[in-house]
Amino acid sequence: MTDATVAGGPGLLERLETGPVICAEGYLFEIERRGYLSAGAYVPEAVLEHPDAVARLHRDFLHAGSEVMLAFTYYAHREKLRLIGKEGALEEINRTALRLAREAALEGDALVAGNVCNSNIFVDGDPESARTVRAMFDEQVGWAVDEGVDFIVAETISFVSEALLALDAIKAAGMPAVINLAIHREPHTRDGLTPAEGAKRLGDAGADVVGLNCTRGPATMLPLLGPIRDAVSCHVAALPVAYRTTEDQPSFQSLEDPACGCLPDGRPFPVALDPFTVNRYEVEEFTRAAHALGVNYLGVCCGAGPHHIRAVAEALGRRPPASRYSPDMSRHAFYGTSDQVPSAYKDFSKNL
Amino acid sequence: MHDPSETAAPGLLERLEAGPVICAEGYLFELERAGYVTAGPYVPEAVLEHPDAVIRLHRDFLRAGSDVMLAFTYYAHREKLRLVGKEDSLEEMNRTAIRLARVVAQEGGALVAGNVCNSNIYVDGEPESARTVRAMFDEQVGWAVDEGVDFIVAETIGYVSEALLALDAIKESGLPAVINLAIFRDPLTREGLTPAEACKRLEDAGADVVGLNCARGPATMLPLLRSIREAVTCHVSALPVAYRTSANEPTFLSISDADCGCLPEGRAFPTALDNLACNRYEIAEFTKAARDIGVGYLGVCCGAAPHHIRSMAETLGRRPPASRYSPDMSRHAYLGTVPEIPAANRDFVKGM
Repeated sequence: MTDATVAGGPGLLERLETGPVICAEGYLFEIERRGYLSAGAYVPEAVLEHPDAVARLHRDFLHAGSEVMLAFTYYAHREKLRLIGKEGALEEINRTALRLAREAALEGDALVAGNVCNSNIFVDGDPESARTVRAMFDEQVGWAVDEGVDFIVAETISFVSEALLALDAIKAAGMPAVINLAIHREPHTRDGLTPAEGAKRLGDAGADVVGLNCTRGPATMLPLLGPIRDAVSCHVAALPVAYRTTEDQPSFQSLEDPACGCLPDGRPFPVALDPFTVNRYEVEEFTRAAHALGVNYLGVCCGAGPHHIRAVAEALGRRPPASRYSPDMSRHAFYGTSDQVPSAYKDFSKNL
Repeated sequence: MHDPSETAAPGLLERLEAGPVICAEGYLFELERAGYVTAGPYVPEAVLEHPDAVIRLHRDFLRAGSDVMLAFTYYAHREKLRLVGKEDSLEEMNRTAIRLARVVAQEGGALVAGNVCNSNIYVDGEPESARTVRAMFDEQVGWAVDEGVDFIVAETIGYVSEALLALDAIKESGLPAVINLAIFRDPLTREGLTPAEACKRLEDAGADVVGLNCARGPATMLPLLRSIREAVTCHVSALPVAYRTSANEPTFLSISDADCGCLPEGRAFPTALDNLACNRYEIAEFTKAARDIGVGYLGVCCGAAPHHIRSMAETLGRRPPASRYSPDMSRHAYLGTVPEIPAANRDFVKGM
């Protein structure tokens, strides 16, 4: 099966048949870190106010091995724009974000993905809220289709019933659908299903890829992936946050930092998570373990830096352009093993 | 005293008389994280191979409140280029780096600084190595002067005697000199002077600003600053690495990571320091404390990102352009306090 793409190469489903696909996420957190987006509201205003910063991050991720340029429309939905009083900019943010992703994708034969997400106003079992949320998905999916994406991701959704609305909107548009659930502290969806049951319902309803993103770090997302893989016959996705979560504190929202008395709300989430960030070697380990389970749509969500994405790519045996700059400690000034490093400097390494 | 800068705005010394000056550093680590610099040799080849990525980081730091655009010539010296077999691009790398810094400085009225650093071949007491190192400083200082910098920083130098060579090269050019020492595990220079004694020697030899950069994080650099401030009458600088060092592991080179068995050489330095990073509030606390001691030239070195620099600027009562995007948790989807946040979302906070 072939599906023609923006960049002219094989489409998502064809690529997934031949091997894993890497999708870098984490645009909100990384652009916040770079100073172009406000934590709290987390609306991607940078798309309109600093498109060069968004284009830069797309390019960094492409260089690092991401095969998907995910349009930065996370939280560019009607409810979020209403909250900051900018509903008038909704369509322009969406269309501009899609164009920025497409321009970057064309530089490296990547796929372009539209993106819809948790509405934050969905109420399970309330038909009125379902209608409102469905209309929010429909308008974003419509703009994505109109701008010519290759597929659409619905993500960070914690009610399966809400995810099904997004899936239906995407399938109605005729696009391949990647549906990622967010599993919080309790290891089940907000409507009380296990992740495997949630994924199964989505697979049965026509999702092409189902899995998990956000909320949980590699250590606490990994145990949920085997049962999902066993429950579904479609492709499986895993995009953890880049933070060291634990059994006791399984989500990045629940992490505590006893070493720091300086947190304004006593909570590291969301703007003081730095000392919980996973290193590139942990991302490699996660990638290998998830791929061994049969997960084939892989990435990193909030907290991801380009070095993490390169680690995903290299763990899968790839050598993206950024591998030109992968570490080579043999030529470090003190720890290097090269003959050219003076021995007096090698000797001093124990005192560094 | 007046030293006219590039833009005819006040120069470094005039600015320091009026209040603190912020200088963002950490280009090597941040561009390594972004995938454009190789850890190990750490030569700033990105200046020639990916100038757009270097410009972008300058601009991110400028918007976050850095008053100085430090030319990315750290390790762009003859010894390092010899080590990577690229001595013939030495001058081009230096001149291009200074031009990149200048282009961005002009966007925001910032100062442009040249940068020389630890040679890695200096041997204390050996006249031949002193001559070689002095010639390395002279050629870099010459290119910096030629490209019209406002002042020159010599930094990350572990020997006072080596720092004095750099200082002499800078003073001969007639430019203001900022001299920063790197203090490793023992709280002494590599020839055994206390940081205060060493800084006094540098001041006596004509340095305009003396202090510390790199090697130590805020927690282990701070205790060294008061004695420096008391020993000298010139301006004092402090630019710690953005990592959580401790009394037992006072440098980012000695820091260990008990929670990760995946480090290639059992050492977190230099490519697995992620979970040892300082958050923005720790940088704010350091800034306040260093400022109270009387440190006038402030910044962050390896590990610094724009959110750290903005934190420093805001702690000094400034509102740089990136403050437009400082956190505002009142409108977070779950943790928010504005009336528009659905009560059901707030109730879910404990389950997140």
